[in-house]
Amino acid sequence: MIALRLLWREFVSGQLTLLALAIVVSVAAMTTTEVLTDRIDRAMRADAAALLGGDLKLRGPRPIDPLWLEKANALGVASTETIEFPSVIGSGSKFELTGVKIITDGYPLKGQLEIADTRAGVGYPTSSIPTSGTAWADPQLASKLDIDVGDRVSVGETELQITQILVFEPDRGGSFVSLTPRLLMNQADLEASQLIQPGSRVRYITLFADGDLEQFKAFVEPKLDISQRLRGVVDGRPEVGNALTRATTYLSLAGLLTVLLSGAAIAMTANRWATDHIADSALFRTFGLSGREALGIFTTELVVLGGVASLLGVVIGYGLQLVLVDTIAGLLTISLPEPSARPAFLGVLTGFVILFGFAAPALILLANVPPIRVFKRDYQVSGVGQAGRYGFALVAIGLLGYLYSDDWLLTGWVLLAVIILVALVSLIGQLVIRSLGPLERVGPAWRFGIQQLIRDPGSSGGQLMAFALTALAIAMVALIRFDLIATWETQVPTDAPNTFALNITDDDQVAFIEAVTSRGGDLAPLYPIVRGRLETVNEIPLIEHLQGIEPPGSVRRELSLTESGVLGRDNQVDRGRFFTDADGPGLVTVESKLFDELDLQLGDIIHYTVGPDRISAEVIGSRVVQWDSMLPNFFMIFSPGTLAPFESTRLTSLRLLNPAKDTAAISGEFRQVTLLSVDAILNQIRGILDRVSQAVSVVLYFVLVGGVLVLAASIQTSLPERRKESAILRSLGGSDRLLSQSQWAEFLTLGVISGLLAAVGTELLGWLVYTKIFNLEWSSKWLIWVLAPLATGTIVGVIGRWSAKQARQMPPAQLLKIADT
Amino acid sequence: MSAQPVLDVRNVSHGFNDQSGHRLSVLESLDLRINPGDSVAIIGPSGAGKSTLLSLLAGLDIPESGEILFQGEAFSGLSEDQRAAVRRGRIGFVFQSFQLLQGLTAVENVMLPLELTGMSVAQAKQRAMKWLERVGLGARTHHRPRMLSGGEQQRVALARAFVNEPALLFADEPTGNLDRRTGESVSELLFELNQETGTTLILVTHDERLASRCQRILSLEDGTLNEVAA
Repeated sequence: MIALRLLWREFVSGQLTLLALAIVVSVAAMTTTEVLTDRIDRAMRADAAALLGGDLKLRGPRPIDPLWLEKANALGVASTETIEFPSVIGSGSKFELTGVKIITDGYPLKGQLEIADTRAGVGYPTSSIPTSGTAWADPQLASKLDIDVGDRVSVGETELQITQILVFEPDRGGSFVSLTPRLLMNQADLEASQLIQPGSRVRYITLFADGDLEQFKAFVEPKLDISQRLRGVVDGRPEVGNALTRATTYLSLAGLLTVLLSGAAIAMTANRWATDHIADSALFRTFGLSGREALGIFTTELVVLGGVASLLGVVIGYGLQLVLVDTIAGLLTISLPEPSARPAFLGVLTGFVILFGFAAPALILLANVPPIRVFKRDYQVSGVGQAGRYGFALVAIGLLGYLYSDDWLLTGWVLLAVIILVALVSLIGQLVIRSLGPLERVGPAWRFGIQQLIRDPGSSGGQLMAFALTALAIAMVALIRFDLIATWETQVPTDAPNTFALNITDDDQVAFIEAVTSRGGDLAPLYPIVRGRLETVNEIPLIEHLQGIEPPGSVRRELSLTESGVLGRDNQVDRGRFFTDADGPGLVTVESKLFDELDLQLGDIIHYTVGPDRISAEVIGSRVVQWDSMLPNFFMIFSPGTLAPFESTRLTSLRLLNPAKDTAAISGEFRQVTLLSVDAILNQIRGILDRVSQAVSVVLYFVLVGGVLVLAASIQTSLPERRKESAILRSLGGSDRLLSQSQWAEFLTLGVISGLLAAVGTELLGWLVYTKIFNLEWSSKWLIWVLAPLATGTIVGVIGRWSAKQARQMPPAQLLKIADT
Repeated sequence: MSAQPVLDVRNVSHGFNDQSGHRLSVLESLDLRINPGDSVAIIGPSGAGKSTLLSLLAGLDIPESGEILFQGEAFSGLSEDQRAAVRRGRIGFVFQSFQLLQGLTAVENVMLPLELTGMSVAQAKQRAMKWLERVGLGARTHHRPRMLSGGEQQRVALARAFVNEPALLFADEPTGNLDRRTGESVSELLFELNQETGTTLILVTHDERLASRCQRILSLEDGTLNEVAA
């Protein structure tokens, strides 16, 4: 109880304000960030789920086991079944092979269908589905059959009326297997149509959403047979999955930097607090308290302070994110889900881990105070060594890093970077401080200011470290916000193709290109497409070659093969080489991941069957493919001439200026060409990027505010010594102007050096993050070398002078009295 | 002679190694008995080992050889925590630099030793207020140390030292940080309280005038204690 009373009295007296503030600010900043990123992350996942039609998608050649549906139901997981199969749909004398999709009420579980009232109409979202006796046709089908809303189509043994044009189907995706025209109809009409017969190629798809998905997944996964596939949001749609994974990694990285910054603030203030209490600890011992009792008092103080401050931080964090969400609501294109309790729990946990990780050395120092210290004030109290202090801090950072990012790799890299950075910063910092001598010649003010730094390199080194790490954190988050995201955005250019075109015949090639360009559109190269199945590697059947390991899905079915002498700009050769003009037919380059999955070596000979024929080719290279570029990409690209003997159609991607209108017109002109719009997917990816930028901007502001507080805390904690020195200088006749200028010189120098060190750190950390985490190329950021020292010098200089002002403005007599207590 | 001395120092020697590893003997074979109610001044030049002796007498440290008994109980052989338990409520201190907790008000500082013995806040406060009035600070009970003059701070320290009526009070240069006039009034108060409570007082000082107010004066020089006057 005495600890609580002491805590309250110390708090009221203002002794604990700085420490409490450091915890509140750090927890508030982290909670705000975490709640916001958690909400945005969940919103983005929900968006991505909309593109899958649900959170999980099970696909197989048979209807789902009813027991699985019961299990889903029991776990609160919603489900809906759809059936897909190819069928010929007719209208008058026209017939078209169409992908028919049978749906029931409840479809889709996530996302919405978009429909238009006429073929040329504008799409709008709907939550209804075709009623019995009706069907919805997509523009492709409508165009090919030359029908519109109100017309009737024959579907197997029945006739259905087209009541809407289907503009967007969330779970359709952009893969080439689903590129046939689409007809959406109600399950009630399935029996009458008699479309499904024994031997029909039918895919049964069940979508699941909400409830205890993890448990359901764990229940289903072991029961899947080879023909069934279960996919979640992240792995179901690689384009969106990539965007999401990157987005969350960006945010967790920013979160980690906030953790580092808060730690620095806590360490400084806790150390000050402990130093202030050394005499008190000794005094308690003279009052008859045992070492453990004295330590108990201080520990209880910290625990209660940490708990209350963390809770307050959490409350402020939740409040602030509400305000922020309100402010940026206009910018957000999605509605955010309600905040969850997880960030609150994480916030409090963070408060404690960070407090004790960084304040433990301070407590150990207090525990080691011998009672004799009351008589001998110069008695050295042995605390935790430098290595121990960093050890505690690193464990705390590691723990928090993992809590925050859920990613050991990321945490590991950050820890390694922190160790190297701290070592570098302290080494270079000490060296630089010791070599500042020549600056003393600038004038008397500079002499005092620089001497202040040189006199106690340990203390100024500590401040330097705090400033440098703060500047580094800010620079890194700014880098993520402005450079990394921009780098990523350039990978999805605004002029990315919005439409795919398939089945372009050789005869139509020239006219098709003309049709697109005359409407102001652009085309990627036209790739010939031949369908083939991989049979052997070095004459060994694939299954044997893989020694019983299941071959990847992309080679279990027929694959679109192409040939090209030009490497696409979204492809990068990572092994071997690409073709040159000197190469003849019979060579192949393989997508890098598939190359590994097929256990290929350069020089291997692979064999494909194309209808009754066979192609052999030597593997001469592998390519890393950027699948989300929206350009046509292939697992296998053969050297020019290899596919010449086979009949092929061509595939390309287009950028149409007016996709809806142009698609209808081009479809009408080239009836056998299939056009597929990928605008929805592109917009989705751009939307996610926008939100990431917004979220990172918010984090940036927090890190900025946190950084300024760390600077103020660091300067505040050195105030007692500063007061003493000011008093001595003033009592010796130093003018206020001299003091002010010397402090300006001191802080400006500290700031500029910190900025330079931060620039070194940014180069190092940036290189690590870019190359090791995001697989992007790193180029030196010269602007950081200018901006960081300039900004840090100015900010540290101004805040330092402002903070030290009170030390100057007190009368020397009063200052000396304070300094002596 | 009374039945049991408050402090019984038997053949105590103590020293330490200097930076070059040479042995420096601070106290050599000291013997000393201090009886209840005694007031004893220990004087000596700077560096003579007065603070070291005080630490040993108060059980804050233990001698290398010999034995110190407080109210018949030997400090040697007890752990630091056990010695702390012996001190609790029975030994008080007054320091040259006051050693008040800066964050606490005058009354809170005085309450502290009482609270540490487990007394209720209300009781502790009542008693602390009484002692603050006794030292003439009844009107300044809610001031923090920084708002008090040096003399006033030392009065608070005196109230804190006497508040649980210890059997033994150590005062280490209690007027060392005060001007002469203030120092005199503080020492006046110290001896008044000492007489009122019958506490045994051990005073370490440079100030011969202050020392002369004690019943016994011991001079510490070259590691030995000599009785100067009685």
